[in-house]
Amino acid sequence: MRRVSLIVCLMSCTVLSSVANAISQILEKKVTIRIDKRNLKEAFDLIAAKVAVPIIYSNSPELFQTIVSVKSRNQSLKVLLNNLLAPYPFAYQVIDDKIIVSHHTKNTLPAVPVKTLAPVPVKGKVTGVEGDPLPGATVRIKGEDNITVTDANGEFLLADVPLNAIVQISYIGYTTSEIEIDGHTPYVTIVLTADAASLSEVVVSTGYQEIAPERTTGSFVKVNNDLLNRRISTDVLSRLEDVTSGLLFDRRNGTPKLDIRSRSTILANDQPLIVLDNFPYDGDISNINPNDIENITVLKDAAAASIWGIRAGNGVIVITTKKGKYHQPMKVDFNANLNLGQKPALSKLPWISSSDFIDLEKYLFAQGYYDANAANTVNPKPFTPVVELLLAAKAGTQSASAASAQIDAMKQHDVRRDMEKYLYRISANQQYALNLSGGSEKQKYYFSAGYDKNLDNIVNNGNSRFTLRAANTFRPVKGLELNTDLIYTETQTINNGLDYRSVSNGASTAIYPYAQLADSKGNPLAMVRDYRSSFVQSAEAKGLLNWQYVPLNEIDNSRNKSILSDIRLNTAAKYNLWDGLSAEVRYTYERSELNNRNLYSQDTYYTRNLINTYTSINSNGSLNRPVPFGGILDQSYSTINSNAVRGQFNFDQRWKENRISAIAGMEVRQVEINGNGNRTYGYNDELLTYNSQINYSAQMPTYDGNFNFIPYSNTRFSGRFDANVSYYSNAAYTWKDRYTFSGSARFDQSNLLGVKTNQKGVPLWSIGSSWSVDKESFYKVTWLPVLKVRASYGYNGNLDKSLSAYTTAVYAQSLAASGFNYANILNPPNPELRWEKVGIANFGVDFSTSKSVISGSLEYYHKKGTELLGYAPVDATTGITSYKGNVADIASQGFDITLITRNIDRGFKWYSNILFSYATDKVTKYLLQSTSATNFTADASLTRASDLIAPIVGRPVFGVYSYKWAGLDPATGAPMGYLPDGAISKDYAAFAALKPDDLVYHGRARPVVFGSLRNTFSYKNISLSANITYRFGYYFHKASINYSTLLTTWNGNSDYASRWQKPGDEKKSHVPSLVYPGNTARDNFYNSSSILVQKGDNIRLQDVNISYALDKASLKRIPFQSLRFYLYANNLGILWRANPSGIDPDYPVLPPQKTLALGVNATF
Amino acid sequence: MKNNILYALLLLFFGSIPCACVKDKLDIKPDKTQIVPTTLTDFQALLDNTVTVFGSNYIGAAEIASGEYALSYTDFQTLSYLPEINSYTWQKDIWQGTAAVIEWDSNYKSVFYANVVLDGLNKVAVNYSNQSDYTNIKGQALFQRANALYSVAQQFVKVYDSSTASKDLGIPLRLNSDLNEKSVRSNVEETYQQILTDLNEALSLLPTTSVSKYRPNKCSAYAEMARIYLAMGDYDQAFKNADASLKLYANLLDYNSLNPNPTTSYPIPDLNNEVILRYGMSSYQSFSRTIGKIDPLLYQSYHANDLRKTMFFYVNSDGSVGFRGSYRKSSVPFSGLATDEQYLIRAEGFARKGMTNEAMADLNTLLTARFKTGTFIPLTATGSDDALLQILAERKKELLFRGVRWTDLKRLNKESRFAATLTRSLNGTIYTLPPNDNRYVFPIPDYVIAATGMQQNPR
Repeated sequence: MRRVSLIVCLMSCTVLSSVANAISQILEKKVTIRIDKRNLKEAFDLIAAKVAVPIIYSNSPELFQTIVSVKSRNQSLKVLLNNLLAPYPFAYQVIDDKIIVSHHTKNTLPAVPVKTLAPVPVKGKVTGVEGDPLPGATVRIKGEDNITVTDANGEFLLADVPLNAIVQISYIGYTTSEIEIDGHTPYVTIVLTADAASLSEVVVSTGYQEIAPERTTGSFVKVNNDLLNRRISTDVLSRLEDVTSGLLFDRRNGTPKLDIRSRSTILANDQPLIVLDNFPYDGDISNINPNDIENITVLKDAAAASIWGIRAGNGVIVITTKKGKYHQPMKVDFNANLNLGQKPALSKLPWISSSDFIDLEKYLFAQGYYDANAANTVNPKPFTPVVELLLAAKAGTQSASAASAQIDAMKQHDVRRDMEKYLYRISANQQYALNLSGGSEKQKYYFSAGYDKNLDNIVNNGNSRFTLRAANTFRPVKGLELNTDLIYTETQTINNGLDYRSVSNGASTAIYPYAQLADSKGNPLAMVRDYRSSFVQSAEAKGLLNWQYVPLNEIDNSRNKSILSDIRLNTAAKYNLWDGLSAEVRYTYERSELNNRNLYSQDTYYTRNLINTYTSINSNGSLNRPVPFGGILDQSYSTINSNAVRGQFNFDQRWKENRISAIAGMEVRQVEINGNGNRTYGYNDELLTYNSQINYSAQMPTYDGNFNFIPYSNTRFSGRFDANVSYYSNAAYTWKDRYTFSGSARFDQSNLLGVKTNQKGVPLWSIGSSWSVDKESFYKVTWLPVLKVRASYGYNGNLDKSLSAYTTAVYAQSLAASGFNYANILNPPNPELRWEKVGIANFGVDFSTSKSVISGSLEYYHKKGTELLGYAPVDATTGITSYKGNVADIASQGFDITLITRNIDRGFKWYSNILFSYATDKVTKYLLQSTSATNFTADASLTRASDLIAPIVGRPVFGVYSYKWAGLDPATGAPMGYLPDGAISKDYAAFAALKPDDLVYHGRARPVVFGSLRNTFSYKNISLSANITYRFGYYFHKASINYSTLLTTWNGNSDYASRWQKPGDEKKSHVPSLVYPGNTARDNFYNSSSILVQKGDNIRLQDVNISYALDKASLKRIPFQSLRFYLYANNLGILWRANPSGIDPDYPVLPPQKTLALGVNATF
Repeated sequence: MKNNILYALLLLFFGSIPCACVKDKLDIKPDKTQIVPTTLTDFQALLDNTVTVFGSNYIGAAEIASGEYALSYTDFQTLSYLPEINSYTWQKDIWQGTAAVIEWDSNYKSVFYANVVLDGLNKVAVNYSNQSDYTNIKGQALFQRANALYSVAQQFVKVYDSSTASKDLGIPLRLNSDLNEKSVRSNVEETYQQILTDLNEALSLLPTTSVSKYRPNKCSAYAEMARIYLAMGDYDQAFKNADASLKLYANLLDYNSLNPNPTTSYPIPDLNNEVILRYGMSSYQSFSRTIGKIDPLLYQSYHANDLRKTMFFYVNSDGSVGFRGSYRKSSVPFSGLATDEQYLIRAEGFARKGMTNEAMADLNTLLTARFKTGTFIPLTATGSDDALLQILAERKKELLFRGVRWTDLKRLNKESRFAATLTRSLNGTIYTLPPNDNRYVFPIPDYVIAATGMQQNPR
């Protein structure tokens, strides 16, 4: 079996051990076929289609010249192939469930004497496992100067190859392979396997073109299909988390924000552009079914992204969908999984305990805190049951001992327990996806259907998504390719539940901690809300509707549903004009509709409250109800219509040692967003009747004696329009497959308000170069067969369309009380307004050691954002208090390291993927820095609330600042701090008046170092991978008690329990003593002091994926080509954290819920 | 051949895109609701922004410091807004680092809006068809600017004194919408001259009647000038303007027509007969009728037949009295212009001229509309000084929670016979504010001082 050594195939991870089995399985396949006078190539294709096994062959002329006929009736494939090939100089071999055909040398050439010393020329071809040629692969004789590169057909010729020489073949993104030349083989076919562990693949896509990584000069990260499917989720983007170098999911604001490398804007849009196939995606990204996605490419630097111009400032994420393949028998792929998630651990909410809260209420009661409201009979705010009991005891309507007993009983309740029990459940997300794909010579197709059903953690919340996709490509005549791709998505979301934040006792108060949602038998209980219970009872006695708020009934009575449907059509025609020159036209249409219907039946508190609020009592005692009985129906409807056309010329030509590939084109894009909403009063969902006689025009008397207009819908009309015209070009020149120079330029125009058309454009450009050092003949480092260096520089842009060079105003959509239309000034004039520009320099090295034991890349970048928009606090005397303009610069830099190591690569395999990113940003210019310390110590930058960011020159955009802590006053427990002169002070106003420079600067609010370590172990059919992620170098403010807030909103922190109560406590605790009346300045000082700032650093076990793959070889008589079961657990927990408080700094309020998914993937 | 045809078609296609649709599309507004204000309609819409800009005088801090109400210590302790706490007890530092002082910011926001309109009007071509709208809008803008500057002046500068006005620190006068112009303090003379110049010009431009009490007219301009001259102690001019205003509009609301139900929250209608121009006041927690308790002496001073005793006040369950007489029919106090105030100004003007009978006639006209029908016995005065005393006492009773008391105190303190020391008592601590104290002038917000370097008021 010397032939075996001619064909080299290294496989990535799983099925190596089953190869022997697989070979026999494939060859035992029974075939019935009749081939009449076809050439060998066609015969292979027909057989491959019949048995659904790829047959790979080189494009040797003999294949086309040899005409064969063969018949088989239920013969095994082995017999058929043996019969077919016996007369000809070909042999075959089964590798990795593919059949690879090569020249069978002994019939054509005389045997070469074994010990011939004369070197021989070696011809050959390098292909991928699908038989696709790999042009540009490096072929070298180990230890010698002899080196060459494969041509456009993947073929190479090495002259003077000594016998028994080792030939090393390397290609970026593929496992490096080595073969021994034995002199018997004038033509070798070398099959390289894509490195499954590697990040790059055959090509990367920019949305405008596909580029082989060999010739890229920019910074790309490609996440391939296997990696995408490692994580189980309903949406696409979360699958990038922790597997994409340089991409950080920033959760400070709750919903994650994506940061590609460090920040390059302050106030403009800070999210990357999402491109679906070739065009930006305008709909809701959660609409995209991840099962339809083949891979994702993230474009990080200017050379990669500047082709997207003004929208590329924050990087670009290019999502590529699955497509059929030419010459492929129909393949059916089915995927189903169930993902279960824990209930949130509400007991971890740092709330004040019931007993502490009740003691506080008793104390406040003694201070007379409740007297004013108790005397209020017009619109008394709600009192908690304890205060009502205290009042009753004081008034003598209840005995003091009975009241006290009831109060003590209430201390035992914890509303968090009730919430966990009645508002939450185990979440269950089901996902089903089925697709069919395949193709013939002239056509390929992909059809898919997907269904997701998600039951949220919150009872009565959830959504379901249905997706359909049909993609077809035709080649009706030679050189012409037509493409249509239609995607339809419909998502229904039910939002009837209550979360722990939405149960409250009224507009300004949270819920009291001892509230009970249900009695011991589970019957829903009423709670005070908006008004005192005595007020509510007396109103009901006067004939008003039941005014009780029963939270659990609200969940059942809510009917809030939205339907989001999205249809997207992508069409393209591509025609080869001349050799190497093609023209293409692409058109995309997308329409997204969001329908929301929220029916508040008369059973809901919302409706009853509104009816009652507007009920007034006439002098004869009759009731006047301008808000009618019946339900209130709010409906809103919004659409996004997007059209884009692109015309582009592609040029790709190779002559001698030169290669040019270039594109140039023009794109027109418009997006129109319209919305409206309405409200119907007195609506009856059974009869469809409603009340058309609502008086919106006059102020109506309210029950509390005020006058107000009846509220109309809170959804307004909206009409937005975005137009962009862009001209772009991108060219790369490669010489000798070693040196690549690239350049791109783009000119964008957009419909900015109040700017003349000819000022609406901005030119953006990039240049780049790369050098494949490994292809130089002087390069002899055989342990490092792949070495490529690259550098790029260029500009991306960013835009904020809400701004204008002129004073702009916006009309309010409803009338003022005066009955007139009125307008607000939106922004003051800014004749200097410009686009933001981000200059990026990127340097990268790609490498791979022998046999790809260690491979990876190292990149350094430096970004400079100039003319960035910033809010500048201005002299309030001007009439505006802040001003947005091009006032800022940011410099940021960092590096991304990606390493793939094959630690053990035998029957048992162990690979590691290491991602390490370092990203910093620094404000280098800010014209009008905020002078108020409170702007820095408030948590604005911590929550990433963009309009509150207050940058300081020399510091990062998101910094953590505080007042220097000096402990508690031993006599009073008052918080103390150090003033800049070193004096210990309790003058809280003096702290609030500090200059920003006098604050303690701790560091960044966003991790500086982040990344992951993913270990994959596989043995036979089982594969296990675990991802450990880490984030270092950042800080956060721990939440603590704020007494003023506690008094007015009932929101208390559990730190209350450890407050200073008596001298000596200051040694054990840093929580200040309670003071009444609340002192906001004191509370603000404490909550902004350095004692509460903690390090965010942490290491967590993010997730584990276990999969078990069966294949045809392992299981006889099942109709599957492959069958894989998987188990996936996510959010497994923090392994180490720097802060001693046990807080998860990335989820500061509630730790994320652990989820466990199990699923199956089958192909047949 | 086939290739070339396709090539030509493609070129044609690409070439036609820009011509056909692109250029026009780039001129479409990105948001339909957004405009660059250029038309008279736009400017009127800016001036009609009574919701967030022109609906209020933003003199709440002054009302807290001068209001005829008292807070119990327990209620005082429930206050959470620092400027409210400090203003009530006349602290030296009112704002204590408060980041947004509406008494300054919002009044200057009104000035900015007015300036945007005035600057914009310069670019509008006036013709026969738009001339009346144009002058009306310009008049409104000038009026609003003057009104906002006056609200600032009431709170942040000393009372006008012709002997020191050109030396006393005034307010920054921002007269155009250019943000780059530095804010510098004028003197008090310049401050009042600018306000009066604006009002005089407004007077010549405004129509005699306006379509709504939300928009100023000639009568409003006279009434506003009467108010301002009174504040300046120029009683002759105050008299003339009040008289001119009353000649245009002198209706009074007969309180006998109101529903006397003691539980009605706000018995006096919005936009009633007496209202010339509707403004509210920035509302604070202490204005609530359950917290801000009316001085019992003041309450008792109303005659039993005086309907104001019913219409103005709400008796709480504990017997304390709160105010419910807002001409805005809500918890927000009314601080706009109304004829009752003009009668009082004219009466004071008569009295200060020594015209006792005319002064008492005006006072009696007003009170007739206040007393139960048939019960009012016209008041008489022994002389002009007696008349003045009666008028000032009535002024205090009629113009409760109207945003004029602070200014009245400031101007009357200049006359030793009327000078008063204010006191407030909380938990045994007595706070006093002697006449002409520096604390009658509020400090300029710290952040304004920091941004402009302008001189702070001494406290």
